[in-house]
Amino acid sequence: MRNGQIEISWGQLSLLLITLVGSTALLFAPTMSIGAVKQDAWISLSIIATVYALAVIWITTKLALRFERMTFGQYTKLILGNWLFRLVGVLYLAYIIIILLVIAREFGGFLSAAFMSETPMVVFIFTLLVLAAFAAVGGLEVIARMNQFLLPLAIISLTLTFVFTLTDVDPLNLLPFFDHKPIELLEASIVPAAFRGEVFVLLWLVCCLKKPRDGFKAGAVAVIFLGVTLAIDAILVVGVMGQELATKLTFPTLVLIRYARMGMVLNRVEGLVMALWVAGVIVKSSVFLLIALITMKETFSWKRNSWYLMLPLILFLIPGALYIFKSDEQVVWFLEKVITGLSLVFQLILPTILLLTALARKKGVKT
Amino acid sequence: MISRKLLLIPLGILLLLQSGCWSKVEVENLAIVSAVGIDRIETEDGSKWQITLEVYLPKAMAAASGEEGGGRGGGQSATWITSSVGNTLQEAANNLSSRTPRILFYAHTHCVIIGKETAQKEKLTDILPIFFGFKEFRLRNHVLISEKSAFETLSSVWELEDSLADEIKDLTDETSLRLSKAVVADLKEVADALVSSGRDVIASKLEVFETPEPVSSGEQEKQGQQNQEAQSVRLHGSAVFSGDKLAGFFDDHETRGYLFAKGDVKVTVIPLQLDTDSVFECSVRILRSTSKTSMKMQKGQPQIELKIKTEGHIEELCPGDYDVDTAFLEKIGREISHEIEKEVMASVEKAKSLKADVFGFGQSIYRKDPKYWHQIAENWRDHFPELPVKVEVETIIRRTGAVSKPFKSS
Repeated sequence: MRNGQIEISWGQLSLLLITLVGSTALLFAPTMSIGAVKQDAWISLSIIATVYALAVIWITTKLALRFERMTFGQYTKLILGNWLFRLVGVLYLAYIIIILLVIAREFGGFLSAAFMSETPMVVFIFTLLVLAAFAAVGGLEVIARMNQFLLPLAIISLTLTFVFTLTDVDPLNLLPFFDHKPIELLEASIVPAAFRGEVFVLLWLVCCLKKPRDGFKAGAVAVIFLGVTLAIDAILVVGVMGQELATKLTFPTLVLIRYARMGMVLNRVEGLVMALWVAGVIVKSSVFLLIALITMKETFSWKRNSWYLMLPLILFLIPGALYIFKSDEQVVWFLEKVITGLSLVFQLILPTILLLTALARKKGVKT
Repeated sequence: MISRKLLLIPLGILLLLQSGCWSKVEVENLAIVSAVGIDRIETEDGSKWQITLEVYLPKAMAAASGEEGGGRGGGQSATWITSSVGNTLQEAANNLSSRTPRILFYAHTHCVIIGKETAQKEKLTDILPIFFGFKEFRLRNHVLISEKSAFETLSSVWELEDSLADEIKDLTDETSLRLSKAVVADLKEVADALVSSGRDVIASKLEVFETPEPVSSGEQEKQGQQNQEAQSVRLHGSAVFSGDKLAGFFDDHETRGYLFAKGDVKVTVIPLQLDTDSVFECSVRILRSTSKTSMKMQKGQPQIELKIKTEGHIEELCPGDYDVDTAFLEKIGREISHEIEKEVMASVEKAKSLKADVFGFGQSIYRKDPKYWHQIAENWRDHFPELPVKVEVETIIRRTGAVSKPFKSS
C-alpha cells in the first residue's frame, strides 16, 4: 500500500513495537509465568521469551530485506507465485483477526473486571476499535506519531510507579534461584513468547522505514527493552507480593501499581497509568488493523477507498469480540492452548518457510 | 472525503458518552467508609457473617472543623456505625445497601478489624479474598485483631482524632513506630504470609480498655452518659496465627522480641537493672536495629541463627557510684544485648508452643535448601517446634545523651 510514500525512522518503529507488545504483555503475560514458576518467572519472561522474539525479528527482517522496498504482498507474490500468495495473505489475515478479537476482548474484559463493572463491555470494545480504525486508515505515520508522544508519558509514569514500590520489595523473595526444572521454565515462557513474538509485524513494516536496513536494529532495541521491563515487572511483583500471593492474582501488575505509594503523600496512581495503558492498546489495535487492511488490499487487489474494507472488518470484530468468548477464563484458555500454537506458526515457522523458499528459488537480493 | 463525514458519527456518539452513563458516581452520593469490621455471629437463622462499617458523616465533619476547639458539632458524632449480616461476606456487604442511602465507597478505608472469636473459629482464607474483590479497596489497609468483637470495638470511643479509624491509623502509622511494642501489618503482608507455606500470619492486636483518665472530649461526654465509663482503644502486643486460624497473642515483650528478630524495631526504650555495688536503673533508647536470619544444615537438620545488631544511647542515667567510660558503656551494651536475647527467645518459644512460624523460618530453609524444604513442607508446623534457634545480639551504646555524669545529692 502506498509503497515508498510512508517513511518512518527506525526509532519511531522501535517505539511503536514497544507499545505494540508492551501494552498487553505487561498486564497479561506475568500472570501466566508467575503462576507457573513463581520467583523464577523473570527468567521465563525475559531471557527465554527474548531469545524467541530475537529469532522472530531475525527471520522476518532477513526475509523482508531480501526484497527491500517491497511490501509483504509484493514479495510473497514474487516468492510463491500469483495464487499461492493469496492463500498466505488470507491465512495471515485470519491470524491477525484472531489477534484483534483477543485484544479487544481482553481490553473490554479487563476494564469491566478491574475498573468499571457496571459498564457493558460493548462500550469499551466499540470505542477501542472505532478509534483504532481511524488511526489505521490514517496510515502508519499517523500511528507512529501518535505513539511518539504517548509512549514517553507511559514510560515515565510507569517508571515512577515502579520506583515507589521499591521500598516494599523484599529481595529475599526471589530466592532460591532456579527452583524449577528447565522444562518448567520453558513451559512458563510459551505464553509470554506468543506476546513477545508480535514483533513479526516487521514483515509489513520494514519496507516503510527510511532505511529498511535498520529494521533489525529497530526490532532488537524494542525486544531487549521489553525483556528488561518485563523482568523488572516480574521481580517487583514477586518482591512486593511474595512468591505465593503473586501466583494467586489475576492481574499482578495492576495490584503492584495499586500498591505503590509515594511517601505518605501520593497514593493510588493507577488511574494515570491505566489511562496511558488504554491509549497503548489503541495504538496496538490500530497497527494490527492497519496490517489487516494492507493485507486485504493486496490479497484482493483492492484499489478503492480503505473504508470499504475497514468498515466490514470492525463491524465483524465488535460482535465477534463480544460473543466468541463466553468468559474471561475462556480467553485465558484460548491464549494458552490455541494462540500459542498459532503464533509459533505465523510468527516463526511461516516466515522461515517463506525465507527458505526464496533462497531455494533464488528470489530477492542476498543480504 | 468520506472519512471526514464518517468521523462525525463516532464523534457524536463519543459526545453522548462524555457524561458517563454507567460507572459514574457523584461525590454527594458516596458514603465514605473509614473502617471495616468483620464478625461471625449467631442469629436465629444460624451463624452468619456480620460486617460493621464506620462511615464519615460529611455534615458533622464540616461542622466540627468549622467550630472552634473542635467540639465535634456540639457532641454530635462525626462518624456513623452501621452493620449488616449475610451468608457470605459479599452478601453482608451488599445487604448494607438496604440501610445506607448512599453508595459505599471503600477507597479511604484505613483498617480492617476482625473479632478475636471470629479469628479463632473461622478461617482467615475465607475472610481475606473479599478485600481483593472490592475495587477501590487498598491492600495498604491494616489488619487488626480486636479482643472484643469488631462490632463492639468499632462502637467504642476515640480520644484525640476525628474518628476511631483515624485514631487507629495514627496509632499504626505514627506512634507504634516510636514504641515498637506492636506489630503493624497490612492486608498484603497478611495475605502473603497466609498463603506462604513457610510463614504464618502475625497482625496487630487491638485492645479496648477503660481509660484511667477522666472523660474529656465532647464525644465521650455524650457516650459517657450512657456507659458511665470511658473506653478507648490501644495497640497492644500482636495476634499470632497458625495456618488460617488465630492461635494466640504475643504480649508486648514477646512482640518486641519478634520485631527485633525481624529487624523492624525503629525506636524503643529498654529499662535495665544493673547490679553493681548499689542497685540502680537506667534506660537505654534503641534507635537502630538490624537483623539477619541464616540457616545452616547440621547433621541433616536445619538450624536457624539470628544475628541482631542494635545501636542506642543511654537516655536516663540514674544515680549511682560509677564513672561513665567506655568500659561502662560496653557493659551496658552487653546487658542490653542479654535483655534483647531474652525477649527474642521468649517470642520464639511462644511461637513454637503455638505452632505458628511467624518469623518465616520455613521460608529461610526453603531459600537456602529448597530440596530439603520440599520434603518437610507439608508437615512444617510439626517440625517447627523442634527447630533449634540461636540468637546473637550485639549492642553498641553510642552516648549518654544530655547528662554525662550521674546526679548525686550531697
